[in-house]
Amino acid sequence: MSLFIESTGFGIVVASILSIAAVGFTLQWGVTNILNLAYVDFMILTAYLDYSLTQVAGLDFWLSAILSVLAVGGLSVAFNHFLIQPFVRRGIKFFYLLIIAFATGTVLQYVIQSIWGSTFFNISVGGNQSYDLGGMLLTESQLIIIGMALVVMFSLHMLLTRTDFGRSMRAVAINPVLAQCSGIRTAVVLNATWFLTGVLCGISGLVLAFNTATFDVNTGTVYIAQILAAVVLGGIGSPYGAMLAALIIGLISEWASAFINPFFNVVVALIVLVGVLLFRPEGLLRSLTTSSGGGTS
Amino acid sequence: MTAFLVTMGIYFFIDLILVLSANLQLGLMGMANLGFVLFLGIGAYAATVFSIGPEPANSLQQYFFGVALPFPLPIILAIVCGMIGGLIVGLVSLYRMRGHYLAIITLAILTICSTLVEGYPKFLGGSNGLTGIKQPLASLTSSYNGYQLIFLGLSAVLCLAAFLFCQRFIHSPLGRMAKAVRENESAVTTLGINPFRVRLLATVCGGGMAALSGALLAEYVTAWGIAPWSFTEIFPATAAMIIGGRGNNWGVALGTFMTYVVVGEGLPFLPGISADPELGYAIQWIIYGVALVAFLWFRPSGLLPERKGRWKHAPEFVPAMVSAPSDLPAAATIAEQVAQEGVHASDQ
Repeated sequence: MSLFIESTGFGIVVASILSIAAVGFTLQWGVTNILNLAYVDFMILTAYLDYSLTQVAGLDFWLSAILSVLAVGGLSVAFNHFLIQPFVRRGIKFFYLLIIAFATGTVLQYVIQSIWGSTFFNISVGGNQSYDLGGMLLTESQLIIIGMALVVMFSLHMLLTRTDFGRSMRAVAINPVLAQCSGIRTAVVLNATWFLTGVLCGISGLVLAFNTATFDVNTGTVYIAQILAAVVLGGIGSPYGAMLAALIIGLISEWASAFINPFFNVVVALIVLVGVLLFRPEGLLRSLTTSSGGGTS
Repeated sequence: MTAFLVTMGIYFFIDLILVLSANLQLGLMGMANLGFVLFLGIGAYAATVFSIGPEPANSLQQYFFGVALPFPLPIILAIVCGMIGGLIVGLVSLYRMRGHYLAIITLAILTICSTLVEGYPKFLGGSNGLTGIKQPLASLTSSYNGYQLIFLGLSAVLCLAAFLFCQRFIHSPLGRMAKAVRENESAVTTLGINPFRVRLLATVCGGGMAALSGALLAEYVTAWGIAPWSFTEIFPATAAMIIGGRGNNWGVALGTFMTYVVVGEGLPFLPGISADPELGYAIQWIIYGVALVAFLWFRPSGLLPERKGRWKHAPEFVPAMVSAPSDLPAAATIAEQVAQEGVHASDQ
């Protein structure tokens, strides 16, 4: 029983990381209709930038975290503006867009490897003293991660529902032409969406690196499967679905790895993914951004 | 030097089989099968299990089953296993999935399989992999160089067979049907063609060929494990396919030569890179990625583009129809135009 409660605690931590990543991924996919396989490489790039800013440049912890997250947001906009949009204006097929995103991710991964080398790095937040919360043993750093996830989710909710930007983003996702006719500058909204999702991607990369003891260039690649599982389970383009799905995936994968086999955390998440794709492709919740529940062609 | 060229030739033929089979699925059919490397792994593991013999009592490596079958059987069984794998994956995924969803589900199936193999070391060696795989035809010669030549011949013959198979596949009514499914699925459906069957057939054939490539690779290197089985391994094959020209087998061969041989094997000769193999590997993959995006922008159809089908007898046939009256210049012009351009057959 104590093993169950402990693994539940770890599951909540995993779910916090996964929810930030999955919400960013689902918004990107829902609004721009691009399956961005480079997402995980942008995630891990944030961790490397943060490492360099704190360890090499010697900046303050929170300052360097904010700077690296903003830098990845900017790179994400550049990726969209200079690579994706020119191809989209040519009317390129989705298959090629998938390949372009894949190529960008690969190039990014090996650029990181040739700059920083393929050794393991370590960044951390908070201390290692653990707190006993009803049987769940969580370290200070894990509590900070959960707190960050809650803050991000709340501010994202406010942004999507209470601001003009959030509403115009949803409008662009549903019908870009109609949105343009209504006076929304769709190119600006798209770039802003890429910035927002890039920032979410950066934050998730940071908390992922905080939670794992060490990271290297492949830490992200392993993660794409779980992000996809949460995104598809939640319904593509649905941020609240992604949050719920991240919680479900995080919990069951930690339970599976505690009770069956440590390797099973990924397997269970992916079996859920395959099952959802086969039997309920629209996901758990109706999409917030699109009326039909999926942002894909 | 000769030995180096022979080794390079063997790798070229093995990689070409993989890229040809990727071309059947990703190029000809336009299916985004990200889990394509699954079939490579199935073939490699099957060839290993069917040739390595039963597990020794006190060996460091563990695996299940294990028989030592004579030469052609492990390769044939590997192809059969790859085709069965393609059939299963195709039945699970192709019936309802298109586009992004197909990419995700194939990636998920690949990751499930590789994680299961990694998580159960007693099944197929786990993350340690399997070593000591028996090489085919090893009894013919005892010298190392002689055996390299034999393996070169074996891989060349099998690669030629795969190439001819792909030529027959693409330049047949089936291949034209496949291209039509890629270009416009709804139109094809109205003509009474079942797109699912065409896709399934391409997946099964592609699975068998990728398994052949994996079997040869495992038997040549005499070791196989988890590391060469990650989904990113599809990336060089995709790059080779798009640089060469997707849908065109000669283009695919040229692309394989450019990426795997010129960039992959030529890069380590450059000064500065030879000292640091890890950096060379990174630069190789960066070149693949940049070249892929550049080709998609500047020359999306590749070095040797896919040829459009032509109706060869059009020039003689069409003018005869509108022969006599000279007071119909418009019709004659159209006929000449048609005669010059040829009549496009059903495939685009």
